[in-house]
Amino acid sequence: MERLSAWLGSTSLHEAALNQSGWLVPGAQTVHLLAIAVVFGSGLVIALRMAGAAGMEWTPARWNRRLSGWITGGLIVLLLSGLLLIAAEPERALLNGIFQLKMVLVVLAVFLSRVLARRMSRLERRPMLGIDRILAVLLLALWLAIIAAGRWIGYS
Amino acid sequence: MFANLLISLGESRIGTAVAESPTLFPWIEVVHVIGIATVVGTIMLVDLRLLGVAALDYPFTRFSRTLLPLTWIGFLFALVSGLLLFSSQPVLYWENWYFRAKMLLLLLAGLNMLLFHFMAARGVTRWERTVTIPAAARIAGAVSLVLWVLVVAAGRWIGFTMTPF
Repeated sequence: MERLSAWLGSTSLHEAALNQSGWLVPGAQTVHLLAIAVVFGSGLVIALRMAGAAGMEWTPARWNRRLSGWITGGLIVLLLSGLLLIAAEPERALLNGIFQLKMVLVVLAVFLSRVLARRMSRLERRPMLGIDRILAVLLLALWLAIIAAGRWIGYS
Repeated sequence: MFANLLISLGESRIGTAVAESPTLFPWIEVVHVIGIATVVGTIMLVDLRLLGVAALDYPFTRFSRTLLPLTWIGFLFALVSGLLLFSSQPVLYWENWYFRAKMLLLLLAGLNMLLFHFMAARGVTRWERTVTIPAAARIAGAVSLVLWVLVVAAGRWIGFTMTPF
């Protein structure tokens, strides 16, 4: 990690990010935050639909068709804007315990998100199970923890 | 008068607690981010529905009725946490131009919502089940989308022009 951090600090991407730091870092954070809104807002709607509390006009499978591409897009934007933020300040992120925890949670959340999407797409042919609802709530809780960790990277 | 109000807010027990505690400010920021993500994440879905980009098979009034309560709950979280963050340094926030821009943008977003509610949404039952959406409704959706993106950007820029403590 130290070597990766040092290498990133010597790249031209890092130079560019720092030279433009007047707007590039807050700009990338703005994009990152908007993508968080996409992913978290969708996760919230999905969890409430699975609980039968919102969006009842559509089946879970229909909601999944509306939101799965939207979420994937959000995740790609999160990855790219996140990489830019790391390149701008490698030590702030890579050598930070909370950042490392956040990355573990992100890998888990992305995996669970794929599992949930697959299960939701099958809900037209089978009844909803308790595990489907638990998965949706668990995923939402994971996104909350990831947001909290993300904010704390800047303070630890 | 107003300046005194800002100063006494900063000197209040809440204001000094947020300013002096090493953990309070970041945790309130976490709540603020979650509130904003809820507001923006749900309102984008409604705006895209208004623009006719997605969810056209979900009647608009039902779509907004199921999502906008979430938007309002998120807004309440963002508002209360925002006030707490503001109370840590009221005078400095008030003097910050990005803070002023953000408040103006929020006001405009509210105005756009009211205009839509009282004008563009008239006759919504006639078009909400069809693929043709009136221009006024599309414009309201586009304006809302742009304003909320700018609110988020202004908020991020406040963080870069202020030091928390």
